[in-house]
Amino acid sequence: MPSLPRKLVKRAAMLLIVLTGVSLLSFALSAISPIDAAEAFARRSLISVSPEQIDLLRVEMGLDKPIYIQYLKWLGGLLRGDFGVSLITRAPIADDIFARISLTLKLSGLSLLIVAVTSVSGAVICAARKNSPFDHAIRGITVFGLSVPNFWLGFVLLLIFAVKLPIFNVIESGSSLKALILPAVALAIPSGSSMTRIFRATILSEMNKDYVIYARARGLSAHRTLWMHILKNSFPSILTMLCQNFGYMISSCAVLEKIFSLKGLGGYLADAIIGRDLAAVNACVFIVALIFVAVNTLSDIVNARIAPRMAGGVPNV
Amino acid sequence: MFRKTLKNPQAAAGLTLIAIFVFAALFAPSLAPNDPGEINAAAKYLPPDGTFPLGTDQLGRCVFSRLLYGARNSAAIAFPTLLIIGLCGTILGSAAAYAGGVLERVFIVICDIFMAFPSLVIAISLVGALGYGMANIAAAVFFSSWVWFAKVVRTWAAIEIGKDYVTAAKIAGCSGAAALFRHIIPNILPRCLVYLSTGVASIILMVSSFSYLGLGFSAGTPEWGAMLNEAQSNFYAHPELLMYPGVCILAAVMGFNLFGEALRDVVTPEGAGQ
Repeated sequence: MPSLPRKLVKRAAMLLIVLTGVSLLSFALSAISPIDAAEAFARRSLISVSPEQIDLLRVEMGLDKPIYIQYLKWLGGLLRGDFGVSLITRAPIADDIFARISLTLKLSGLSLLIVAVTSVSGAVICAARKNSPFDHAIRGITVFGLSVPNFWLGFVLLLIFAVKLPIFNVIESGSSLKALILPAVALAIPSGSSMTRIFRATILSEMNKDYVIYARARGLSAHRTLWMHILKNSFPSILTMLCQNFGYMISSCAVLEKIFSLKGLGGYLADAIIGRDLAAVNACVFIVALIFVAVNTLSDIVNARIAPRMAGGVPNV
Repeated sequence: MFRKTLKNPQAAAGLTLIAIFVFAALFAPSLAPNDPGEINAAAKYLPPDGTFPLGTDQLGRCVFSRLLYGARNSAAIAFPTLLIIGLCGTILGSAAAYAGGVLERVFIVICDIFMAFPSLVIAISLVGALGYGMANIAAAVFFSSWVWFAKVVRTWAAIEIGKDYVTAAKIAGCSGAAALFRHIIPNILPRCLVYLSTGVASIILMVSSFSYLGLGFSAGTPEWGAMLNEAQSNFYAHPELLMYPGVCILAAVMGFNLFGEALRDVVTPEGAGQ
C-alpha cells in the first residue's frame, strides 16, 4: 500500500491531467465552431462594421493566432488568476465569476442538503422495512422524480407556489434563502430520487454481510445495528455519490437559474455560449470542472480517513 | 427472462407507456388530426373541441398533432443514439478492461475528463459548430453521455475478467478477442440492456432540455422541449400549454424508467448493485 504523501502526489497529478484535458477540450470545441467570435462581437457592439474593423478586432483579441498559442496564452493568464475580459459584460471574467458563483454554490448547496437529508432518511426507512407499503410508496415517488424534467418542474412549482398559492414571489429579489427554495427543490427532486434508490440498494447489500449477523448475534437491536453499523459502513459510498451529484448539480443549474431569474454562474455560462464569448466560456467550464474534481477528491480524502481499508477509493459497483 | 419480465406489473406498466410512445412516434402522420405546422392566426388559444382535441397554441396550431409529432422527433433521436452509445460503450469499455495497464488508465482519464465537462457545453458547442438538425443533436447527446455508459461497462467487465471462467477460457486457448466477444460481453450484456433501457429515458430528457434552451431544432419544429419553451412566455394566461408537453415527457421517460427497473430486478434479483 503506497504511503499517504505518495498517494496525494498521484492524486494531484490526476487532477492536473483531468483539468488540462477539460480546458483543451473546451478550446477544441470553440475552435471547430464556424462562428467568428470577432465578427460576432463587432456586430453586437458597433452599428456598421467593415471587414477591416473585424480584422483589427481579431488581432486585438488575439484570435488571429494559431489555436495552440491562444491556449498557451490563456494558460499563462490562468496561472496569474486572469481569465481575460468578457466581451458581453466588458468586466474582467474573474470578477464576473466571483460575483456570480456564490449564488450557484448556495443554490446547489441548499439543493444538496435537501437531497442528502431526504434520500438518506428515505433510504434507511425503505431498507429497514423492505417491501412495506412505505417502501413501495417511496419507490413510486422516486420513479416519478427520476422521470420529471427539472425545468418543467421549475415552472410547475412556480405555478403552484407563486401563482395559485402566493407564498413566494415569481421573481424574488436578491439571493435570499427564500428566492432559492423553489429552484433548489426543483433541482433536488430528480437527484434526490436517484440517490434514494441507490442508497437503499447500498444499505440492503450491506445488510447481507457477515458483520450484521455478528452484531445481531451479539444481541444488538435491529435499530442499533442499522444506525451504528450498517449506516456507518455505507457512509463512504453515500458520500461519494453525494459529492458526484454536487458537481452535476452545478452544471445543471443553468436552466433553473434562467426560469427563476437568478443571476448565477449557469446563466452566465449559457449567455456566454450563445454570445460567442469564448474566453468566458472557457473560464466557466474550467471553474465548473475544478469544483467537480475538487469535491470528488475531497470525498475520497474524507473516505480514506474514516475507512482506511477502502483507501483506493470506493469500488464503483 | 422475458416471460418473467412480462409477469411483473411494474414492467407491464412501463411497457404500456413505451408502447403508447412508440405507437405515437410511428404513426404520428396518420394519427394527427391536423397539420402540426399549420399556422392559423384566427384560431389562437382555442379550447379543446372536435377538430382540435387539445385546443390550439399561440399560433393557432393543433396542440395534439404537435404532441404526436413531438414523440416522433424524440424517438428519432433517442433510439439511434442509444444504439451507437450501446455499441461503442460496450466494446470500448470491455476492451479497456481487458487490455488493462496503460490503455485502461488512459481510458479512465478520458472518461474523467468527459465526466467533469458540463454536458450542456458539449451540446451547445457542437450544435453551434455543426448547425441545427437531428444528426447534430444526436452527436451532442452521444458525446456528452457515452463515457458514463462506457465507464460502467469497464467496471463490470473488470469484475468478470477476474472470474475463473475467463482464466479457463484463456487456458483453453481462447484468443483475446474471442474471450471478449464470446465470454465477457455475453455475461455483462443483460446488465448493459438494463442500463440502456433507462438510458433512453435520460436521452429523452436531455434532448428536451436542449430544445427547451433553443438548441438543435429549427424554429417551429414540433418537439416537446421546444413546445415548453414557446409556452413559457404565456405561462400565466395559458399554463395548460406548458402542462401538455411536460406530461408527455414525464410519461415517456417514466415508461422507460419503470421498464428498465423491472428488467433490472429480473436480471439482478438481489436488488443489489446500482
